[in-house]
Amino acid sequence: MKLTTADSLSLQRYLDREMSTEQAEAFRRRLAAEPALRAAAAEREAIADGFALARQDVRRAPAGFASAVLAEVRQLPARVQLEAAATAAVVLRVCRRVLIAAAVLAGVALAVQAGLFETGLGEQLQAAPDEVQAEMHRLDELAKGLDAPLVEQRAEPRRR
Amino acid sequence: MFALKRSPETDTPDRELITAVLDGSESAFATLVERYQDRVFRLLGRYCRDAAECEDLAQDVFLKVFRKLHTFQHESQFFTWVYRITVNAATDHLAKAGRRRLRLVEDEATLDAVGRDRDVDGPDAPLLRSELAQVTRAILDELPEKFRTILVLREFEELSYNEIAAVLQCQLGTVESRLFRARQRFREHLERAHPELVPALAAVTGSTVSRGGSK
Repeated sequence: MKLTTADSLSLQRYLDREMSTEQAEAFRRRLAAEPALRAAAAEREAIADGFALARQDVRRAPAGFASAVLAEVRQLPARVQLEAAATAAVVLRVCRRVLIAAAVLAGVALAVQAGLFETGLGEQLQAAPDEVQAEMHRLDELAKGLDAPLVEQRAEPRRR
Repeated sequence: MFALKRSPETDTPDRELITAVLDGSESAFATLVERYQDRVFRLLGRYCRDAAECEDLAQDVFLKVFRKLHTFQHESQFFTWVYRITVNAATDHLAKAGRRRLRLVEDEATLDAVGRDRDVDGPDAPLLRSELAQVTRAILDELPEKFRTILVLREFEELSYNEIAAVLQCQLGTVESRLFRARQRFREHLERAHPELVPALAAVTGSTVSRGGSK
């Protein structure tokens, strides 16, 4: 039988010794009573044993490692300079982020200005059809007025 | 250049050593390095098998510890702070180098070989126990970095949930859920690579439910 997630998490907490004494005691009673829980626990334990075997293979620091580190430390600038450099790095990081944010905002503003995004302003600027018609008529009349002197000028030499 | 003073420190608490280092004591820093070098090497060894690379990384870790020591706020234990720097150094290194390159060839061979035509109750059983360690390490190498790190901290370094939360700077609930998923993923990998090994594990290791309990 498959365990619920809640039971699996409880089992994990129990095997990792992350329960209080009372919780552990109550869980131990459940383990004794529930074979499915006991089987899941045994399997988890077996995998943990694999880790325990792998754990034995450890790397240790070679002799003289601390001296080598100290030799490197001696090459570092004075503590005051290190702290100043760390502060400068933080300030630089903040400035860089502010600049990036400003550049992004400027880019978005330019894109909006260039009409790359739908703003809804275009719809507001559209005139009513009657207004457009009236304006077209007015422009036609104006054009006729401008053409009239030209027509007269072209007709005059023939008369002469 | 870093101004150095000599002062005798042996069993001094971390807090006092840190203050002494910040005041310019070389021997205080040497004591801190000697106190934590094996733990740092052990942790790095879970990520990187090459001894020279491991030593370079460990040196980087301690130089970073030295450089950043003034930022340590004593809100957590010093070793969890050192572990955080170590884990970050190891995972950065893996990301840069490409984790597959770092895997030992012998691990790949072991993954293929272990459990094949082997009678776990037979005379090979002790051999299987030793190979099981290599299979475990090899599967761990295959896991995503987040799962691998949390399993390393719990199963190898045996840190408590609170300590893991301090190292990874996350909530206790995140530790529990990530650990749960990591173990699920580990089991899936084990089952996929060595289906015959899963039921056999209990027999080989002789597991009974004995590990659990209270804090």
